[in-house]
Order: sequence, then structure tokens, then C-alpha cells
Amino acid sequence: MTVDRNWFNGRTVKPIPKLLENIEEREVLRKIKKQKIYLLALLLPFILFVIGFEIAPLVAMIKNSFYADDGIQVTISQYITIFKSKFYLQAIQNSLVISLFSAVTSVIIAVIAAYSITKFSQKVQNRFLMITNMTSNFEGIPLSFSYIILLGNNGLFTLLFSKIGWDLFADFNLYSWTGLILVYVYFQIPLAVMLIYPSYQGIKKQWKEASSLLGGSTVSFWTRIGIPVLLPSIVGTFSILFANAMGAYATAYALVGSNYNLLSLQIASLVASDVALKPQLGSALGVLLAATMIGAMWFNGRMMRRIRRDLR
Amino acid sequence: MSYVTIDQVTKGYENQVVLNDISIKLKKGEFATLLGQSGCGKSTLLRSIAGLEDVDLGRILIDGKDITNLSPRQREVGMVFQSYALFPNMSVFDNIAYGLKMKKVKDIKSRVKKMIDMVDLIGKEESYPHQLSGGQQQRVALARALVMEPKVLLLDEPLSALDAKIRKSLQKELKRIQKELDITTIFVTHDQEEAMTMSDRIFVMNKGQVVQSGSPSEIYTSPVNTFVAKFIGNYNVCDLEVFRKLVRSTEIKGNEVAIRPEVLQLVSVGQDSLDLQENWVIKGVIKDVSMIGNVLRYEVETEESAFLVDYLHHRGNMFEQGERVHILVPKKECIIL
Amino acid sequence: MKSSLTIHKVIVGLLVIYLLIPLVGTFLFSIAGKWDHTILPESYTMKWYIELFQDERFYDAFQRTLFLIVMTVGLSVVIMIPTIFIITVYFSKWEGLLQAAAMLPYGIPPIVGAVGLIKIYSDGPIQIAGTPWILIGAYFITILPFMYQGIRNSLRTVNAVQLVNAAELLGATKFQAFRTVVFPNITSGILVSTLLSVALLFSEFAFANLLVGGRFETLQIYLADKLNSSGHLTSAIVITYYSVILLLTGAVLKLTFRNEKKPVVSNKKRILSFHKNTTLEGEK
Repeated sequence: MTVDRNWFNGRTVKPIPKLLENIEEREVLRKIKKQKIYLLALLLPFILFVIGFEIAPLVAMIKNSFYADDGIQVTISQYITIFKSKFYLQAIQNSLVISLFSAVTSVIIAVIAAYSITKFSQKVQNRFLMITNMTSNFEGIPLSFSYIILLGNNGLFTLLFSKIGWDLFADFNLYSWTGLILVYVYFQIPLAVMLIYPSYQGIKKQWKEASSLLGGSTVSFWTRIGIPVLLPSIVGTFSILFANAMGAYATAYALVGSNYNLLSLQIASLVASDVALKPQLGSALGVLLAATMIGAMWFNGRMMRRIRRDLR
Repeated sequence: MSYVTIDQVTKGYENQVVLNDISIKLKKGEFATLLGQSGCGKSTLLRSIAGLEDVDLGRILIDGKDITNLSPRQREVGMVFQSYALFPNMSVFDNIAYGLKMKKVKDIKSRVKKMIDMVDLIGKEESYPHQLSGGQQQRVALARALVMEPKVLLLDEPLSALDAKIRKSLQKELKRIQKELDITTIFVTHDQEEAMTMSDRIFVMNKGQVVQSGSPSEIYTSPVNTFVAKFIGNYNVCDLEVFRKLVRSTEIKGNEVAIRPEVLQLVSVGQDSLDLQENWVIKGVIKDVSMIGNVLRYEVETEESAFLVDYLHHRGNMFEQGERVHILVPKKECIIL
Repeated sequence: MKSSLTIHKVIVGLLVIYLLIPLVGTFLFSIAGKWDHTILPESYTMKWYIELFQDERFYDAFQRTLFLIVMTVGLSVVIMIPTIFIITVYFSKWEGLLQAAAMLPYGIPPIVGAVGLIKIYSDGPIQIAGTPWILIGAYFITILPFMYQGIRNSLRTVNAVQLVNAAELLGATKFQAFRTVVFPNITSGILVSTLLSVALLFSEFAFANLLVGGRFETLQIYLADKLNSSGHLTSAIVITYYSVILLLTGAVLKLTFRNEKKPVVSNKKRILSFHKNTTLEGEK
């Protein structure tokens, strides 16, 4: 029953660098297996669609933004035009302001509302979530239309309130940037609630209990623990809403018409109207819009990674 | 003639060597266990035998046939996964019958029934996986693999998701079925107690290599190096210099000394009929007494380090905390590493 | 304790009212006869719906929308399922790339996509601008994130790779394995993504208007055109369209509720938080 310890201890193993060399050779051979080439062919349709309708348009837009109006000369004049034009700068500003305002408002309302929702029984919570889910689909043309018949010049509420004597709404113009913010807020709140609500699940009841056992009050819990934990989610949601609002087209089109000075509407009038005036300028604006959106999404990603770090 | 031969199998992954020149020979009907911590390569080796992973160098042979380049379905091996991998859309009966259907076997019904009987799942034929307990699911997975009468049965930590009691009973059942069918089995686990209970032979693995192989008692009583000694059981491992100092002797040579806690004895200070031919004596103080199952474990603090001394719990506490004692170290039982 | 629940009731109550008023208002408008200054309509009538369902143009628009949806979703299902399966099982190293390509559309609003699409397909070799075909292509990419997420999550939930491994060891080829043990278990996930995509495409206006406009009038374009005509008729269109959406999303919620135990917020939530792979709510 003696174990030959010497064999175990004295045995030599091939040195690792040599091992890796041999392995590399084999790996290459492995990869060129016939079967896999046939499979790659099956992936072709997907690849074609992605290139044709996702990658190529982006590349074309970026490329086109660096041409002059004649379509031949390569230049950054389109961008210069934008930054020198009061009109287009106003368009950018309008979009930024409207998106910012509506996103901030929606987030604040959602944070409060989502918290209140958590106070109810699970069944009731599910009902509320169902409602938010369903109303989040009510956007674009139908939504603008609804607001027009309610708050437009001959809108229901407008007439009603003037009869009752509420002067607030007499001066209110739905077809302005305040109107846009109002409508944007409507379709952003359900989305914000759905995004923020789950973070409250992350606030474990035990934390509240531990905090109070250690002598903390409700206020101190929220300021020191609750809100900091929610913050990445809140900021992330905000950036999603902001990006969403920046790219919105249908809602604005129906509410204020295709000539209103909003970035998305202006791009449309430059590239897609019957009198296609300046596709290159439109491309440049498009690039700027895409850049802001990508920036917002990247920011959201960073916030989300913060959450993961906490969870780890 | 070995039934399963693993011949210098080597595998690399992203510039790391995951399996380092492994060679193993198994007899027919043997129950072999690959034992090690996570990351040691045991699961990778198992999956390589199954054909779910490629090897870069070396060969694998089963019953004389070189299966190294065959796809999983051609290898005639059966496997039980850690998470069972039962097909959720099929009943117990259909799960077990799946392989037979693929092979277009004639007599499916009776073979499946026989297997259901063997794993003790009668009455559950029409149930679906989500309706079964963990232990029951595992038995379905086992039946599904065995009904194919594979040449080798592979088990990848099949019991680690189950709680202690079920695990123990399934260990027994697994062993019983294996012996009854006389099927060559390779079992992967990180639980050394499980390995000891079930195996004919254990292969201790570390960092892609087999560090020691042997029967459970061989490995337990004669660990080959510090790693194995520390991994199996509760060996006291002591640096040679320290040990020499403690026993005041220069008899032994080596790097380290390993002693099992149950071979040490404690005597009260003052007893003089100590056999100093057979034993060394180390002076110490009882630091702690704990009861682990039916074992009384004393932690004894000596001049240099602490020693664990285990006694079967016969009559209750023999020594109190703080009491000064002598540790009797049988010279024969000291393993030099 | 009671008083604190009241304030939450008030908040949530206000929110619900706020969200439902436009819908309720539009609905009432669609069935109202005379409704000038009063809180509720003075008279009710179904004549607007009758007028709508007798409008050939409405049916044509509905048909065209349906055509686009069936083509797009059909194509997507047929292409995406094999693609995701093949990459998950055979080329798992490329999963990151697939995910990036599949999620990118969510960051590109239609207005941005349209710029490039118009450029490429009006001048170049493939001139499909202005035809429904460019719309199908654009829609394919629009629903890509939803189809991808749905199918991929289904594959993950059932642990498709391991099922395929188990099936292979029992003698199946990878294709047989997919057919017998993977596909049957992901049908509900596919169904959910499909329904969501259909709802999405019904509501799509931007691409339709920018890429084809009046040349291929979809439901939404028809609606936009009617905006300036009778408000009652337009309300009827809106309510009809929205009922379809409700049916679809209702079916989705029912299916997802059936499959998961914790309350499901929505697939939108999962898609929007694609940056984090672990979630704070019920995804397993």
C-alpha cells in the first residue's frame, strides 16, 4: 500500500511556453471546420439586413454631412453653417430645452408616484403597472390629437374652463413649446415610472430596519441611504427620457406642424420634404442629433454600471 | 487492459493551460472521482471526455477505440449535468426515452419502465420536470443517461445542488446502481467527503494536473504533498524546522510533517509512563474544545503552533480549556512531505 | 398608519386620472353627437364609427399597415431565430457583436435613420425609396431590439446550450436538438416579442412618413391626414387604433404574467436597461 511519492514529485511536466505553441496550431485547425462555414452562410440574411438598413445609413449620413451643397466638394461647411445660423441654433436649443424640461419633470413625478405605488398590496401594484404599461403606448399622432381636442383653441377643457372662469388656460397656447413640453411629459411619465419602480424593490426593508435600530430617522434614511441608492437609476432614467424626447418626431409633427423650429422637424424638412433642399445640411444636423443621443445613452450605461458595482 | 485511457491530454484557453498533460487509466466498472477545487480543471476534463470541449493535445480512448475526434453523439458516453438539463417540454417518460428515440430503438417502453423502476420513480412517468423535487429530477437525469447503456457514465457535480440529507441518500443509490450495472463511472466533485464515500479511486486535481491518485484510504493516510494533505481531512501540517524544535529531535528529514488529528493522543502533565520509543512528546495547553458531530476536537497551543487532536466522543470531556497537557505523537504516523 | 396611506392614494389617484383623461376624452368625443360646452356630451351617437368603417380609404390604409407588419415580423422571426441560435451555440464569441448590432437601433431615432436611408436608396443601385420595401427594411431594424431580447432571454431562461449538449450526448444532431428540445420551450418568448413588435409597428409614423409618405398610406399616415378634418371622426380612428394596441399589449401582459411569478414591468424596461445584464426586478 505504499504510494510511490517519488514518482509524483519527480515527474517533469512539459514547459508551458512550448505547450502553448502546440495548442495554438491546433486551435487554428479547429476553427476551419467545414461545418462552420455552412453555418456562416445561414447568418448571411441577418448580416445583410444589418448592413443595409442599420450600418450603411449611418455611415452614409455621416459621410454626407461632410459634403457641400453641390454634393461634390468635401468640406465641413455644413457644420459651420449650423453653428453660424441663428435659426438652426435656435432649433437645437428648442429641442434641448424641451427635452430637458420634460425629462426632469417626468422623472420627479415618476420618483414620487413610483414610491407611492409601492405602498399598496402586490395585486394593486400590478394593476397600476398595467395602467402605466398601456398608457405608455399612447404617443405620437394619437396623443397629440387627444391633447388638441382637449386643450386646443377649441378644445374641450379650454372652453370649459373659460366658461367657469378659470383664466389660467385662456393664455395657454398648446401649439407652442410649453404645449410640447406638456404633451411630452404625458408620454414620458409612464416610461419613467416603469423604469424607476423596480429600483424601489432594491431598497430592502431590512435597510430601513437596520437604520432605525442604529438611531436614524426616516428623513436621514432617505437622504443617506435611500436616495443615494436610487440615484444611478434616476439619472439613468433621465438620460433615457432625454434621448427619447430629442428623437421624437411624430408627436411634434402632429402638434406644431412640420415647420416648427425643432431639430427633428427641421431635419425632416431638409431631407424628406417634396422640395428636398439640402440633404447634406440635414445630414449634418442628423449627426449632431445622433451625437446627443449617443451621449445620453452612454451616460445611462455608466450610471447602470454603477449600480452593478454596488450589487456586487 | 484499461477501459478508459486518457493519454497526455492537454488543453489551453486564452493563453492559460487548463489541462496540463493529464494521463489516467481506468478499469472497466471502476468508480473514479476527479476531486479538486473550482478552477482545477476537473469539469473541463470531464467535458472533454464527453466531447463537449476539444482537446489540443493527447488522446482519449474508450474500450480501445480512439474517440478524441468524435462528436458527442458518436462517443457512447452518458452524462448527468449539475443542473440536470432535463427537457422542460417533455414528461419524465419522454425525457428518459429521448435517446432511445434518437437511436430509433424498437423496445422503448419496456426499457424506460425498467429504468424508472431502477431509480425508484414509479408513478412519476407523466410528471413534468418542474413538478419534481431536486432529488427526483436528478434521478430522471440519471435514468436518461443510463437507459442508453453507455460505455462510460460521466457525472458533473450532480449532487451539489441538493441539501445534505437527500445528498447522502442519493450517494448511496448512485453507488448501488453503479455496482449493479457494473458501469465505468467518472464523478466530479469538490467535496472530499463525497469522494471518499463513493469512489474506488480518487484523482486529486490542482491547476490542471493530477496531483495524486489512489484509493480513498491511500489518499487519506498517505498524502503526497502539502496540497493534498491540507485538502483531505484536517491534517496538521507543520514546517520541519518548527517540528524539530517542538520534539527536540533531528531524526526526520524533509520539508514538512503531516499528522492526522485522530492519531495524536493527549495525556495530563504528570503521567510518566510514556512510551518514548514509539512517540515524541510535545508540551501544550488546551486552547479550545469543540464538538463536531461525534468527534471531540481539541485545539492545543504549543510553543510554536497549534495542533488539532480528535477523539471519538466516548465519555465526555477529558480535558478542560487552559489545562496543560502533553501531546503524544506516534513516530510511525508522521508523514514527511 | 392610515393617514399616510391616504396621501399615497391621492398621489396615485391623481396620476391615474391624469393618464386616463386624454383617452377617456377622446373616447367620449368619438361617440358624441353634440358636445360644445358641457362636461359630458349632450348626445351620443355611433355615426362616426359607422362613417369610419364605411371609408374605403381606412380599410386600404389598414390593409397596407397589416401587409407591412406581416412581412416584417414574418421575416424577422424566420431570420432571427436561426441567427441567434447559431451564434449562441456555435459562435458564442460573437455574442457581444450580435448584441451591439441588435441594440443599436434603440439609440437611433427614425429621423436619424431616415436621413441615411433616403440617401442610399434614392440614388444608388437599389432604388427602393418611396416603396414599401424600404419600409420593410427599416421596420426590420426597428423591431430588432425587441425580437433579439425576447429570443435571447428565452434561450437563456431554458439554458438552451446545456439542453443542446444533453441532447447531443443522447444521440441528437444539433439541428435535431434545436427542433425537439429548444424550440418548443421558447415559443411563448417568441410570441411575446412578436406581439410587442406588432403593436410597435402599428404605432409607427416617422419612418412611414419620411420614407414613403403618401405613396403608401399606412394607418398612421391616414390618421395624420385626417387630423384637420372632423375631430369626431379622427377620435373614432384613434380609439379604433388604440383598441388594437390594447388587445396586443394585453395579450403580452397575460402571457408574461403566466410565465413569471414576480410582477413584470414590461419588456420595454428590459430593453432600455440593456446596459446592465443583471436587473433589480424579476428577471431570472
